Amino acid sequence: MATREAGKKMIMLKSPDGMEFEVEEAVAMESQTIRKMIEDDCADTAILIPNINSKILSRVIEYCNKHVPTTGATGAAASDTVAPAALAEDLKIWDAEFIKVNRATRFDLIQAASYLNIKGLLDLTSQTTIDTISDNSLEEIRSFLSTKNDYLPEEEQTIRRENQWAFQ
Amino acid sequence: MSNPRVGSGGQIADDVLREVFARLPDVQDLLRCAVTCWRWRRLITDPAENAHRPSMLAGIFTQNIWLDRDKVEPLKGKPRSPPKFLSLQAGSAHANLTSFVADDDGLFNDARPLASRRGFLLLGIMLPANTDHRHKLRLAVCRPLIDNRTHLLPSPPIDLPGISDSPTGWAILTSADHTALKYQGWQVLVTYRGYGVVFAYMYYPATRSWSVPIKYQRDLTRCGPGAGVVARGVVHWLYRDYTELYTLNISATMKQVSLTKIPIKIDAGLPYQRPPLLCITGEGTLSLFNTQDDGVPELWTKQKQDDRDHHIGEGEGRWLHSYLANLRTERPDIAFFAESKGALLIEQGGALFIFDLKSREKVRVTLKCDEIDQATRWFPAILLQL
Repeated sequence: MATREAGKKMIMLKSPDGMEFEVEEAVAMESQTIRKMIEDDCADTAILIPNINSKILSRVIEYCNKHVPTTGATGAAASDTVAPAALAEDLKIWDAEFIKVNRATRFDLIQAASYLNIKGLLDLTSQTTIDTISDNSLEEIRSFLSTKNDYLPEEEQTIRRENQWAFQ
Repeated sequence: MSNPRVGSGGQIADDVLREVFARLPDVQDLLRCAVTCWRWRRLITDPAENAHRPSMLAGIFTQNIWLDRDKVEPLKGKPRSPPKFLSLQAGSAHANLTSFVADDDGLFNDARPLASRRGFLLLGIMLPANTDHRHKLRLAVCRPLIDNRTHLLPSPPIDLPGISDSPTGWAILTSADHTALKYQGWQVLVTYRGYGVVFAYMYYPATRSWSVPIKYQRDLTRCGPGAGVVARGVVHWLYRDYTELYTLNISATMKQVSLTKIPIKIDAGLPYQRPPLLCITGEGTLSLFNTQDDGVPELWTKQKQDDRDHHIGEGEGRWLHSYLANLRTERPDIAFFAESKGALLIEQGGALFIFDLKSREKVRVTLKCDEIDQATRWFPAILLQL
């Protein structure tokens, strides 16, 4: 494991397309999956993150960098000068900017956050889809989320009748 | 028809959908998604797929139990008193059970809700008295809100001498409880009492058959709900003898039966003592909710001895005791346990609350107490959790 600055442990994350990302251990540990690997001593020199390409992985790291709790020597100084409420507000604005991506990227981010087990990122990335489901009719949900209705007409009728309560 | 397993062509992958479904705020959104396509339906309703989705509390099944049994003629539809479904979702309708299940013969006119787990509802059905004037209890499993099919279980083969023909305990198990159940979807465990012996039978829907009974020799009386609680593949009920309270533990594999003494004692000086309520907190931890004294309700949580230690001996083990301080204001009048949700339904000072045993948050529910009429309100309510 590489150590760059005093007190800051660095670890290497590798994407399957061969890119390497050197990140602070604390940042990588925003992911519960990576945290467990590090705690179980499974993380040698570099951790290969399967199924997540470099484009998505770099965005995930960007998110973790922003959301890592500022408790270090420099972090403490930062939170002394900025009020927690303002900090939270700043994060919220940052999150809103971060999630301005196309749908495919958003789904890739959900998948990555799910594999890496990063709760905050999961909540953030799934919210748009949740809103789509809550605010729209069945036909609109199908069209917005590219879901093909593969029921036979009579099947759909039966299922709708059985699930009638949900449509009241 | 497209292959429902493939997430290509702009379709959302299963993992992504699971995360989204796990975060939907209300039951109706989830049910609407289940009508979208086969793949979504499977991810939402298949017990092997939805095990990790946090459970949602859809509503309460309750029923007027003060009907005169002799006047009940279920197959003639007299009188009609099917269980009522009281929705806990804001703005959604209450309904009778019979509007959710196919009820051609009036089978559910007088059905009793017995237990619920992950959308499955176990019902007791009273068939008309036969020649020896004894009512025969039959069990049925259905999934109200999901589909209107009903699985009517054959009578358990209780032909042993001295065994009473009404069950003392029951439980529904799903794939979420035990990996061996993966291809069954669900199973039903029922216990009967003979002379100083507890008999347990498991029902397997795939073969439509009951297991041979397993026996536990001990003269005990069940106290508390007949619906057992399931933790880590083991069903638990509260039992008592003259001096002590115990949990009876039967594993989903039917290989282990045991008894565990609990730290709450029977007070011989009290003519009537409300037994503690068995519940599950957090990741399948067995707990006891106790409101015995006029003080603050308390929670006893069983401490893990070892992760692999499924079979608990007769020792007391270690229990962590804590007070539920935010229930302090008034002693709860009734408390029912929503198992998969890990929450209690509490009536306190004329209002109903959901109390989450993990977060210890207390949330007032939209249901008004007067919607549960006087005749039905003391019936052990069964909470439907999707």
